[in-house]
Amino acid sequence: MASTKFLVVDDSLTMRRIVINTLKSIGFHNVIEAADGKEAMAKILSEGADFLITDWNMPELNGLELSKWVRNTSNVQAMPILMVTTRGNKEDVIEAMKMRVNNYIVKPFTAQGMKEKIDQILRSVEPKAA
Amino acid sequence: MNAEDMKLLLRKVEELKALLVFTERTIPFLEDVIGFVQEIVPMVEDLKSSVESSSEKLPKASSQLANVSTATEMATTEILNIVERMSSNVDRIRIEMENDQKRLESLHLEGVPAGRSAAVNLVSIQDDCTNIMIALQVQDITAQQIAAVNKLMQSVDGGLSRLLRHFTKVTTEHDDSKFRHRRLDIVFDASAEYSGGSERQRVADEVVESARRSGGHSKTKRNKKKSPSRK
Repeated sequence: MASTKFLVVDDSLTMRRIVINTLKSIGFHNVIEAADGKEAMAKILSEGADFLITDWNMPELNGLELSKWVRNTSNVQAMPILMVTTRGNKEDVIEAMKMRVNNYIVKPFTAQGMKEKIDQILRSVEPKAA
Repeated sequence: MNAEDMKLLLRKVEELKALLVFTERTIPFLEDVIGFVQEIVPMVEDLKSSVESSSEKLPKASSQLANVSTATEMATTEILNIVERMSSNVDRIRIEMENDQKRLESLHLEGVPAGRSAAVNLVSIQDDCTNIMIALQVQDITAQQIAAVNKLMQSVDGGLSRLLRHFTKVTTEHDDSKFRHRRLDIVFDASAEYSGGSERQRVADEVVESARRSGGHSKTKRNKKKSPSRK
C-alpha cells in the first residue's frame, strides 16, 4: 500500500504541495503531480499511476472530465479516483459519482480525513492476483 | 361672397375654434412635461457622473484584488517552505533519536527518559507542522473567492458601460482587459468557502454512501501494472 503511486492534480501549486505533504505525513511517499487534467492524462500514459487525487475546477481539462477519461480508457479504467474540491453542493457530488469517482473530499480537508478516505478506497480495491 | 363661401368660412371658423380648445387643454399638460424634464435633467447628469466614476474605480479595485491574491500566495509559499523545512528537520531528529535509543538498548543501557519524552514532543511538533500546512488551504479558497468577486466586478462594469453608451453615444466596445490579471484569471468555484467544512463533508459522505449502496461502485480489480507509455 505504501508503494502506491499517487498522481495529484490541481491547478494551484499551493494545494498540490499541501496534498503531497499530507500524503507523505500519512505514509505515502510515491507521488507525482500535474497542474491540470490534460497534463494528468499525459502523465498517466507516460509515467503511470495507481491512484488519482484530483481537483475539479481546472483549466484545459477539469477534474470531472479527467475522471470520465480515466473510466473510458481501457488500461486505466479501474484506477481509484479521489475528488478533492471546494465544490460541496449535493448536486456536484452526485455528478462526480456519476463519473464513478471512488470518493469525494470537500476542501478544506484534514489529514485524518484524507487518510480515512484513501484507506477506504484502498480497502475496496482488490489487487490483481500475481 | 355667396352662401357656399359663407358655409366654408363658418366651417373653417369651427375647426379653428376646436383647435384652440384642444390647444387650451394640452398646454397645461405640456407645461407639466417640460417641468418634469427640467427636474430630471440634473438627476440624469448626476447619474451619468456617478456611473462614470464607478466605472473608473472598478478596474482599480480589480488591480488591488490582484495584489491581495499575489501577496497571500507569496506569504503562503514562504510559510510552506518553512514548515516543510521544519518537518524535515523534526523527522531527521526523530530518526537520530531512535537510532541513539537502539544503540543504547543494544548496549543494554536504558534510554534516557527525557529522550523518550522528547520523541513524543517531536511527534507532536510534526503533527503541528501538518496542521499548519492543512490550514494553508485557506489561500486556495480565498484565491477562488477573490476571482469570483473580480468576475462580478467585470460584469458590473460591462453593465455600466452599456448604460453610459446611452448618455454619451460612445460606440467603442467594453474593454475587459482592465480586469485580466494573472492571479485572478483562474478557474474558480464561486461558492468556495473556508468555514462549514465538516457539514459539507457530511453531505458529500451521504451522497457517496448512497451511491455505493445503490451499487454505483462494486469492488474493482486494481491493476498493479504501470500504464503503458503511448509514445
